[in-house]
Amino acid sequence: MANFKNSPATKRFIRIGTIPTFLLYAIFVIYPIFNMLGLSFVKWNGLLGKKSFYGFKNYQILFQDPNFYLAFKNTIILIVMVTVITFVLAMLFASMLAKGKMAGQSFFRILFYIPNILSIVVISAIFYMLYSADYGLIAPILSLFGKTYSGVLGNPDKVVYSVGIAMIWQAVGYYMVMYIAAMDSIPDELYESAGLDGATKARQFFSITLPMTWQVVRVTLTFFIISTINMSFLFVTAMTDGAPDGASNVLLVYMAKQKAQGNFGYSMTIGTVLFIFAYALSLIIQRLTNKDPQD
Amino acid sequence: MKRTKCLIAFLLILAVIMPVFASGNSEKATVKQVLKVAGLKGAYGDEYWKQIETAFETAYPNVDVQLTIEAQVEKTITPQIQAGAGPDVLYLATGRKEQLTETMISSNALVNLTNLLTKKVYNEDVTLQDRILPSIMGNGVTNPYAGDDTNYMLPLFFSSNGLFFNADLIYDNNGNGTEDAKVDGKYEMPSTWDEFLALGKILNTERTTNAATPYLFTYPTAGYLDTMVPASIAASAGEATVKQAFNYEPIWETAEVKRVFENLGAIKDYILPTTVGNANVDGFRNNQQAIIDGKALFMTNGDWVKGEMADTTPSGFNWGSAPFLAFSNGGERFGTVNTEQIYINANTKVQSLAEDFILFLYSQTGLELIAKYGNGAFVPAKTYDEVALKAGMNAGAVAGYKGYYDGTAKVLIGSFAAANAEGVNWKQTYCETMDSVMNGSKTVNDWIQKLKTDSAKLKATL
Repeated sequence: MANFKNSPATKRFIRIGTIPTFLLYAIFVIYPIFNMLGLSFVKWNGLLGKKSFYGFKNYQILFQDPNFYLAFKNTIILIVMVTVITFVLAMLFASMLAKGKMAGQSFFRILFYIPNILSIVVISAIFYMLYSADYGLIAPILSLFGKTYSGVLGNPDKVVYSVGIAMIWQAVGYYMVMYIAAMDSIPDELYESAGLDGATKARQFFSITLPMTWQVVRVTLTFFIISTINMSFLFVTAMTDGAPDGASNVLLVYMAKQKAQGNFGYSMTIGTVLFIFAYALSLIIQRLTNKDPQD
Repeated sequence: MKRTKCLIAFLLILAVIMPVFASGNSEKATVKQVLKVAGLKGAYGDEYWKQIETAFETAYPNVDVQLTIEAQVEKTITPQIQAGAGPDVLYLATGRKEQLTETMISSNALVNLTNLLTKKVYNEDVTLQDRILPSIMGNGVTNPYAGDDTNYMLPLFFSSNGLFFNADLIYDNNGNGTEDAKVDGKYEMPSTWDEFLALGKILNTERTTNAATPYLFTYPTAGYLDTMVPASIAASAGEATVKQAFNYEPIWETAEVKRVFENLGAIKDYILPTTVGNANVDGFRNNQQAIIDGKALFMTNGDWVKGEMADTTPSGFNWGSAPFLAFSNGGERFGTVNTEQIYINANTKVQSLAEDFILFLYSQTGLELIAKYGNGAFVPAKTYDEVALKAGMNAGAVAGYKGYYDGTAKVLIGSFAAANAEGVNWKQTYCETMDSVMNGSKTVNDWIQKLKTDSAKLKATL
């Protein structure tokens, strides 16, 4: 009985028990990734028609394609902007609402979480009306300062940031809830003893709250990257569909459009590059933030 | 006894059946010929059909016209056709959801109308061939069998896709090649690009004193330029060149093609400023609404926009549509049209009567009734524009269609060949670049260079 956990029979049981999940994982996650990689070396229209081997030509064309660089730039802008601003806001609100310090706490939790459950189509309609030159809020406010406003969704320099703001609005509640849960698990004695030692609220935040929630923050950083990339496709498609003239394209949208044009192999190339980028970025972030929480 | 019973039974049966055969012959002289006409009750209503029925029965006293004009006419006449008692004349377009006309075509159930075209319309010395606008005949509208030029259908109505406007703000172009001043609150309908851009200047000047003056132009999304660009290339450089463009030949830097994009770029000074901000899936209706609200004069669109915007269009608003612009006074203009066809059922027993009915429709008598009671319908028949004005149709709307009637407007045939090349999105290149040119982030030269490089890539894959 003492060696139950390490007995060969137990180990064998564990190995066999995980096979079904591993099979599912292999079929639905690992295989498609390698399939995508393989198809990126092919020229195909995605439906009928033959697949012809294309070698590295897709990659050659890709790295000379200005549309690709524009979409890549937009994707990076969104990842950085959404991650940084959402993180700061979510932590801020979480530290205000955690541990029951503020009145009306559960009301605010619900309020902040509502954007996260709205459909993306609804959110895009809300922000479209907000940004609208005819019906929105921005035009009258700017006219108080004597400036005219002719719409931001048609401005190629500003359209990506406008989409980013909608994404931040949607995401803050989700991460705030996670951070509240992490903060609630910090023992109260730490704060009490720090308060007795004369530490200010801000000092307490940086010395106690942040390090103690660090593991949760690390996990959410990976979430940020993945979810921003995925949501960027939904938001851009719902709000602008790449307009004006491709200025708000992100990599997934560009990939979908190329596939619709019948350049299936090329869209797989874009997907492969995006996958490698996202994977590498997550790895780097994990390495950089690797800290022993007891420091 | 048995044989007698059989004989009696047989005679009784004969006695019952005989009257069925006997009655026809004796009453034939006093029974009227029945002509069954069926068709769609759409935006044009059915009042004009009732008027035509009365007029036709007056002209042909021995005829009884039976109309079946309904919104869901296919539901009513399909069982009749299946039972062999279908209508003789059908007014029903191709491209409808029920595809009844397509089914008739594929069942070879249409009468060959070649002979009919050589006959004279009712009460006039004009053949049907000479009455119908030649630019609307052909092109699969009237000869649906591939490789066969025989006419089996005729275009009864047509509607122009192209420039859409509020017909009450427009008066007819006087043909002098320059854009004249505003008269009685109405602007002259431009027929050339020069007049169009000059109108933009006039509007900009007027707006300095009257802020409610409309802007010249808007578009729902840049994708809606997909007919305006080829139609303008055809008008500027000729149909042969636009066919080359459709095959991605390198014609983009010739002077005639260049001026198309230069003119499109020149619209930047006259375009409704909120156009590009609204040129996406959430906002395109606002750009369409701008025409209805009088914020912009012209937009490129298709006939469906009337139904699409019906909920937000005040009653009494009159839509006008016109083909795209010419590049010289009296020069060719191109547009695309939707047509609704009329044809004769091959199973008809009164073919010559059906043909007389069609000849009546296209005669002056028929055209006047359609113009008066047809709720704004346009028939592709010569002289219809004059008939329409006399019958009181909206003058601005008639002004838009004038090009088709005086022969300067032609129907654009063809589209870009199917081709794909990595990294190339052709619709984005030839249409959506307009957004960048309108908001100043790209120049017309950038546009032409992009057309050049992308079309070369596509041509290589053809």
